[in-house]
Amino acid sequence: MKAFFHLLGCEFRLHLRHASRNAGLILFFLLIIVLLPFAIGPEPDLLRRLAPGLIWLAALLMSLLALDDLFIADARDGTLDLMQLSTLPLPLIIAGKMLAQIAIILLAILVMLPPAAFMLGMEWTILPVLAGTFILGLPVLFLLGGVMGAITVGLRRHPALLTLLLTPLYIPALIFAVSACDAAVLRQSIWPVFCLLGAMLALLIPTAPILIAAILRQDQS
Amino acid sequence: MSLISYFANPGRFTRLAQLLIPWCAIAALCAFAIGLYLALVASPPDYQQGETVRIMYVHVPAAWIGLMLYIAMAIAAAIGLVARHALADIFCVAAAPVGASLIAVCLITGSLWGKPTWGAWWVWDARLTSVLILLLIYLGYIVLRHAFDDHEKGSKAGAIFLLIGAVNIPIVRFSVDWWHTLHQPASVLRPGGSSLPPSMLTPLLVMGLAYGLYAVCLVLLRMRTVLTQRKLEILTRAAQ
Repeated sequence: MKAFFHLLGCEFRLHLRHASRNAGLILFFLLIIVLLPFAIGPEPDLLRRLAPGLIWLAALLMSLLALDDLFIADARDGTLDLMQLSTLPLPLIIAGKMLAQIAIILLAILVMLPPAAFMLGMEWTILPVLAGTFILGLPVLFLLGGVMGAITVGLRRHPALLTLLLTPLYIPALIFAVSACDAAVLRQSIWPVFCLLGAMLALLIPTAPILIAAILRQDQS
Repeated sequence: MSLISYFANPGRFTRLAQLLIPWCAIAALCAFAIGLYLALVASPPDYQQGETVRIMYVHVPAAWIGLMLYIAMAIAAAIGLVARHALADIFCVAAAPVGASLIAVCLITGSLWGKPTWGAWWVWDARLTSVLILLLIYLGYIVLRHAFDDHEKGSKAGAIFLLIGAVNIPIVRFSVDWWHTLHQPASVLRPGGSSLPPSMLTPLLVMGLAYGLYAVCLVLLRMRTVLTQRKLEILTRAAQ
């Protein structure tokens, strides 16, 4: 357990030292938000109604970008081989790495949510619900993306492959997240949808690290 | 189980496929001839939809067989992962384009039917969306499988993707019951028996049989091709 927390601290420090990558991702997220009003027109009513969906779309595209090189650097410089030699079980190491990555991005997104919502004229009462869907939904995106990123790690660069693999898997999470915000706008109960998102997350938390570890181990041998 | 391991020998499988393919092809042709006659000529027009109801006889069996092929592929993927069956991956590789085309046929005919009936080529209804996701999963699998040079690794990665994608199958099946959106609920396989009259059910079932035989024939043919391709790859590598 001590080793796991040590690894977690290590990962967090790595993310902070190489902050430019994560900062670039958040900038990408904000740039999409800035571009969208130009694409669909600046009418405040239209933007207000579409805001939760647009913010989620921006986050989803950003996560596709983030996942593209999740394990590739580790595979290339031999970190992956060292991780397998560690006394810590590989799924736990993967879980630690994913946890650090998800926590950093989630934190940054939560900080950026109010300005994004402000720019699109979203109602402030929806903001906590939107933040809640991100807390449950963003880890779902990253865990699914981690599995697919591990599958494609040994492949020659194939630009749209990860996007193609992840799109069908992302759609349910996107539907639930946005329908929670819609329910909040209509003053309906948001709990059924939150429970569904939570169920997806609860299913992925134990399975994804084990799957990723199995794929990476087979890939290295 | 012994039957499954019996056909793990590609030679035995090829001989059986050789035997089955012509019979399947003839049976599929006969079933298509009878089914199309029953569907397009002999069956009555619908009292609400008129003649457009005939699109159903092409649309529904394509969806059935496209869905069944995915289920078969997911089962084969599981067998391939657990038992390392030699033909499991070859089946998946061979069946994926067939299933994808059938789902595409289902979506296109559905769209052609939707325009006169619903007044729109496409609506974001639960059933339509989940079938579109199924098509995307098929396409994702095909591209993923082609990205690997190493069949050993490719089969494992593809199998994992197929098994994750299998979550979508119950959603496709029950989407019309869980979300009451535009697409009509199940009318053939449902509790309390089919709601279709026999004059429409018979052509539909014959067409289903025709599509099924056609798919079996095509998949066997493609499996033989993939087997030959693999053999060729091994021989070229040995020659170099």
